Order: sequence, then C-alpha cells, then structure tokens
Amino acid sequence: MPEQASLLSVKELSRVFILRSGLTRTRIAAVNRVSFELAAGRPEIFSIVGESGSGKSTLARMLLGLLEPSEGKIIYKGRDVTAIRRRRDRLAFMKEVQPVFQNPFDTFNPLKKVETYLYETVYNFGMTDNVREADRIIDDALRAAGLSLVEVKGRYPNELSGGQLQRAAVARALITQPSLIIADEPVSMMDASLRMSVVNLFKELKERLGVTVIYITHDLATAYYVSDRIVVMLRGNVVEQGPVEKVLAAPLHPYTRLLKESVPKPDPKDKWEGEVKLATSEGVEYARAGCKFAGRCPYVQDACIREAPPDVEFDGRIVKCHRVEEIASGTAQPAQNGSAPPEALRSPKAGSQAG
Amino acid sequence: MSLVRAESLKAYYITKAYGVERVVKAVDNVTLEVRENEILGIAGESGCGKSTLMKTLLGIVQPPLTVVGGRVVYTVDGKDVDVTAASPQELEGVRWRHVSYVPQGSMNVLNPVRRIKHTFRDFVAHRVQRMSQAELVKWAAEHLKSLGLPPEVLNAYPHQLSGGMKQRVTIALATLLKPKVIFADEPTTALDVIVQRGVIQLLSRIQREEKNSLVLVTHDMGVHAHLTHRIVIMYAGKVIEEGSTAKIFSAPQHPYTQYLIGSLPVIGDKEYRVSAPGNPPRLDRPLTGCRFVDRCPKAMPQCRQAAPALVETGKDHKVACFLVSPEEEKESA
Ligand SMILES: Nc1ncnc2c1ncn2[C@@H]1O[C@H](COP(=O)(O)OP(=O)(O)OP(=O)(O)O)[C@@H](O)[C@H]1O
Ligand SMILES: Nc1ncnc2c1ncn2[C@@H]1O[C@H](COP(=O)(O)OP(=O)(O)OP(=O)(O)O)[C@@H](O)[C@H]1O
Ligand SMILES: [Mg+2]
Ligand SMILES: [Mg+2]
Repeated sequence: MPEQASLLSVKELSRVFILRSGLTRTRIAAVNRVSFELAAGRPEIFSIVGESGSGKSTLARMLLGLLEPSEGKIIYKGRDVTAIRRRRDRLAFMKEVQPVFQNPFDTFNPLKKVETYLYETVYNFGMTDNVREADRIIDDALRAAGLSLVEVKGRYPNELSGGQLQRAAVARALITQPSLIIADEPVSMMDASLRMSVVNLFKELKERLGVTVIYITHDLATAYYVSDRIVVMLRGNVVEQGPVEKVLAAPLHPYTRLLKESVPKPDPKDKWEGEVKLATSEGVEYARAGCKFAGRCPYVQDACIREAPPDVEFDGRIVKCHRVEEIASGTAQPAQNGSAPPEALRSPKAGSQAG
Repeated sequence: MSLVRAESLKAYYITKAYGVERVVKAVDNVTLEVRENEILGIAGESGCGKSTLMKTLLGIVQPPLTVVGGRVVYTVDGKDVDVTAASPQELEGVRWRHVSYVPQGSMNVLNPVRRIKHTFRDFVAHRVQRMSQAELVKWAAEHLKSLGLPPEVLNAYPHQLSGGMKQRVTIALATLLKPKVIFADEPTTALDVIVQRGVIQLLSRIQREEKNSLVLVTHDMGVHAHLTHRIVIMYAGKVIEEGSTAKIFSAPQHPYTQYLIGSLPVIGDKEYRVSAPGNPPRLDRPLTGCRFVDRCPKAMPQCRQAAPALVETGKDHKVACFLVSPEEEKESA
C-alpha cells in the first residue's frame, strides 16, 4: 500500500516538564507519546479537546515550533520541523503554519493600536512593501473574520470587546494565507453566534482555500459541528480519537462521556443532577502509573490503577481503556466503592446517545 | 423587593481623537431591577454592553465611560442610595457589603507575586475592623472550606493554582463579606466544561445557602439555562427582552432572542447553521429605530423610525418589539 503524502505527521511526540510545588518536584509528561497524521490534499478540521491542563497547548506549541519536544517527531510536508535552523526556512514554515491563541488580550499589546500588529505581520512576512496594498490585504483578512479595517483602525485593544479582538486575531492569522492554522481555543471568549461565525469561517477556509485547521477547544458542541476528526486528551495522553460522529455522538471512554455530559445544555428542563467529582490536583493525576482517569472513573478496577491502558482499536476509533469492550457492550459494572459517579456514567447508555 | 435598580440608564464611552468626538452608546436607556433572592442572568452578544452595564451598576464609572442619563439605585436596609450621585466614600461604604463583583477575566486579577492569604488580607484591610493575621487566616480558611476549597490554597501563589481554582478563589473573595448582591462577569468563560460545572455548582450553592442575589453576565446560554431564574437579553446597548428563564427558552418573543436560542449547536446535529446575517450595528453611530432591524427577518417599515418600548407581555415577561406592542420607547433626559 503506497503511503499517503502527509501534510503533518506527528510521531510518538512527548514533552516532559518538571513541576515544583513547595519542596516536591514532579516530573510530568504534559504530552505523552502522541501520534496522528493530517493528510496532504485532504484538508480537514481536526479538533483537540480535553480539560484544562491536559497538554493541548503544549502540543500546539510544539507543532508551531515554539517549544522543543522531549521525544518524537513532527514532520511538516516531509521536513522535520525541529531540525529547522536557518532563519529563512523558519520564516517560510511560520508563513505556512499560523497560530491563533487563546486570549486575544495576550496577543495584542495593550499600548499599541490593534492594526499595528496586523501591519507588522504583513511586513515581517514580506507580503508587500506598499501601504495601500497592505491596507487591502488587512481589510480582506478582517472582512473574512467579520470585521473591517475602518472599524478597527485607530483603536486600542481595550476599545474592542473580547470577541471583536479575537476576530482580529483570526484575521491576523489569515494574512499570510497559510496551509495550516493551529487555533488554540480561538472562540473561548466569544458568544455562540460569533463562535458559529468563526467555526463557519474555518469551514469555509477548509472548503474554499484548502486550509487545514487544528481546532483546540473546550466547546464540544462546536467541535462536533465543525470537525472531521477529533482527539480527546487527558493529562498528556490521547484517550480517544476518531471521526467526530463516533467519538462525540457516542463516546466510549468514560472520560469522553464525562466531558460530553458536562456541557450545559441550553435547556432549563434538562439540568444536571448530583455534583460532579472534580479532578484532584493535576499533579496527582499526571503521577498516576496506570490510567490517569482512575481516580474519577466509575468503572475503575485494579488493573486500571496498576498499568497504563493500551490503545485499543474499537468501532472505528482508538480508545485508551482497559475495559472498552465491556463499556461498549454495556456489561461493565461501575465500581461499588468510592463516591457516587456522575449520573451520566451510572447508566451505560446515557452517555452514548446522540443529541 | 428590588436590591439594585437601573432607571433609564445611559452610559456612554466618550473619547476625543484629533478633535473628533466619538460616542459609543454601550448602555442606552436601560431599566431593570435585581430582586431579592434571585439569580438574574444578563445575556447577549459580544460587545452588546453587558460588562459596561455591570460596571455602571457597580458604580465603577471612569472616563471615558460616562453616565449621561438615568440613575442606579441601591436599596440598603430599606433606604435608597443613588449610586450615580454618590461620592467615592459613600460608594466604598456600600460596595463589597451590599454589592460585590467577580470581574471579567478575574482569574488574572489575583496579584501574581502575593500569596493568596495576602490577597485576602489586602482585600479586607480597609473594609473590616482590625483583625490579626491569625484571625484573618482562620476566617478565610473557614470561608474557603465552606466553598469546598482546601485551606492550603491560602499559602499558594496564583501561578500554582489551576484556572478553575483561581476562579473559585476570586468567587471566595467576592463572597467573603456576605454581600446582598454578587455580580459575576463571565465567571465560567474560558474554563473547561468540567471545571465550569464545578463553578456553576458553587455559585448556585452559595446563592441557595445565603439567599442573596446573583447577577450573572455571560453569553453562554447553556450556563443561563442551568443557573438563572430570570434572564435579561441585551442587544446593542438595549434590553430587548426580559423574562423567567423557562419562558425565555420555551417561548422567546423577540426575533433576536428566538434566533439566539434557535441557532445553538448541539452534539449529534451536524446540519449547517448559518451565522447571523450581518453584524450588530456600530454603537458609535447615531442610531434610530430598533437596533436589530438590519438582521431581523420580520422587519417592518415602522422598525426603522422609532425604537420599540420594553413592555409587559405576560407575567414576568417583557419584550421590546413592534410585532408585540406598538408602544415607542421614551427617551430619558
Ligand atoms: N512551561 C511549562 N513549565 C512547566 N509546566 C508546564 C509548562 N507549560 C505547561 N506546563 C504544564 O503542563 C500541563 C499541560 O499544560 P497545557 O497548558 O498544555 O494544558 P492545556 O490542555 O492547554 O490547558 P488549558 O485548557 O487550560 O489551556 C499542565 O500541568 C501545565 O501546568
Ligand atoms: N474603553 C472603551 N472605549 C471605547 N469603547 C469601549 C470601551 N470599552 C468598551 N467599549 C465598547 O463598548 C461596547 C460594549 O462593550 P462591553 O465590554 O460592555 O461588551 P460586552 O457585552 O461585555 O462584550 P463581551 O461579551 O465581548 O465581553 C463595545 O462596542 C465596545 O467596543
Ligand atoms: Mg491551553
Ligand atoms: Mg464583557
């Protein structure tokens, strides 16, 4: 079978940090042996979801060449990203792979007008030297993101609302006409209608311009709506990955089920019952030898605490769980001891219903 | 009984650049009340003026923000206090005891170089009778414990805490002096869904136990559905609908609210959802008529001439739309 040309190939990628709290030092693998492929010539929207502190941004920063991996490889269009040394090659790579970050208030310097950063991007990447042409490029990008240059011109970041500023950040990423956009929680500050306009914008970029988008988010509803494939991260590990119609509509990993169940449904008649069991400190979960979810999982068994679960190929996806077959067939019995699991997890079917 | 009232409130950002005055009508003729023992939600698109309204209700009005009309009234121990006319000293007296707030992006307002217990100390320094460090730590620890937070966080620096933990600490600060009304501006935005669920549980527990009032500003309709009793819908600086949470979700009357509720994506449905046609109007331009007219599928000629008044259409339900009532909005002075 001929190997498909890939746009981005991530192989066994890891990144280790040392966390200090007080006198204790903990070694955590914020990204632990993560692998996936994005095919060339087949643009897609690839979502990465998971709780806070599960390694999503660490992964994104490595993909953007902003952080050195501890182990593993990142191959972009056949080139090892971590081996790029020359300034010109780095610039070319940065032009191809553009970031959109989480907090627009960090992206934009509060003391500079919003457009300054947009012009800087145009000039730094050598898009043009001509001011009028720069205006046009910037206005096009802003319009693609639902703004315009006249609206933005002369204004400082604090004169725009959070949502308006984030659209300006998306516009900035569009300036260099990239092949891959890595958007780290681009809509977390936005309201539903702007979220829809940004994810629809990603859809359009994918369909019209063939741009692939890595969409990192906490918002499972838009992730479901917009993406083709999804990976679910838990404390550095990908615990479930596959087509979004399977992973989110009918999640198998108990952690994916908990995530899905925790999305507040816009319906006052359908509220949660019972209290959710929050994660103990991140460090504790990272330090677990076995499954990182063992402390919260309703189906936990001895094996889960002792050994890290294998990647099991099941029903068109990959699930990192010792008990995936039993959970899928509904025969897994929740553990009796410990505090009560969240109600969605008590019934094996509740989490797997679509809608 | 109402605890906080806005009467025909107008709060504009007025700036001058190159001799040209720019006026952003962020809060434009808003009347509303916060009642005793309720969770009131304020919803609406980004930039519609939610944070500005909240700041004005709190009396945190600094240039370029200016109150150009109407007033804000607190009812403290049965007496009315006009916040818009109060001196900074008078305001300081009622803030934190009568009202307190959790500002937008508040996870980032904790002083990064001070331990949490010192932030607690700074916070109570001018507001409570003198107290020893030990007493203070004990008080703060008890308060944190009642909110389900481990007392160890008092010794931590902000960077050692997760985003959700920091947010819960800021909620703990805002509730320490047992205020009657707590304003929270996007307290769960940018938190992951599980931590958000924890924060929602926390806020709802505080409100149930203290029987105080909570004003929750967020654009997340899911959070409104789970937490609030009543909802005020804002659009382009104006309140366009107000009602019980059940009503707003089951029978929204304003076309904008209908759109807001109807366009939410749900897991399991991949059908293409059109983003709202067009954008909300710019608030720095002269505006007449209904602010939603350019995006409204049911716009009538009348809608361009005057703004509709917010009128009662049923029990605890108000709408500003000519489809529902022909009454025009009265301007405040
Ligand atoms: N530079 C760093 N030094 C030490 N630890 C770090 C560093 N960057 C990240 N970490 C740790 O790595 C883990 C993963 O962090 P990361 O920011 O990648 O998570 P995330 O999934 O992006 O979270 P969020 O949803 O909050 O953005 C966390 O425990 C974090 O504290
Ligand atoms: N300092 C300022 N100077 C001028 N205009 C401002 C200023 N702050 C906010 N605005 C404008 O006032 C309007 C209302 O802003 P506000 O922050 O109240 O909106 P919001 O509803 O809280 O939005 P978000 O959901 O994005 O937080 C926006 O059009 C914004 O651009
Ligand atoms: Mg992150
Ligand atoms: Mg706001």
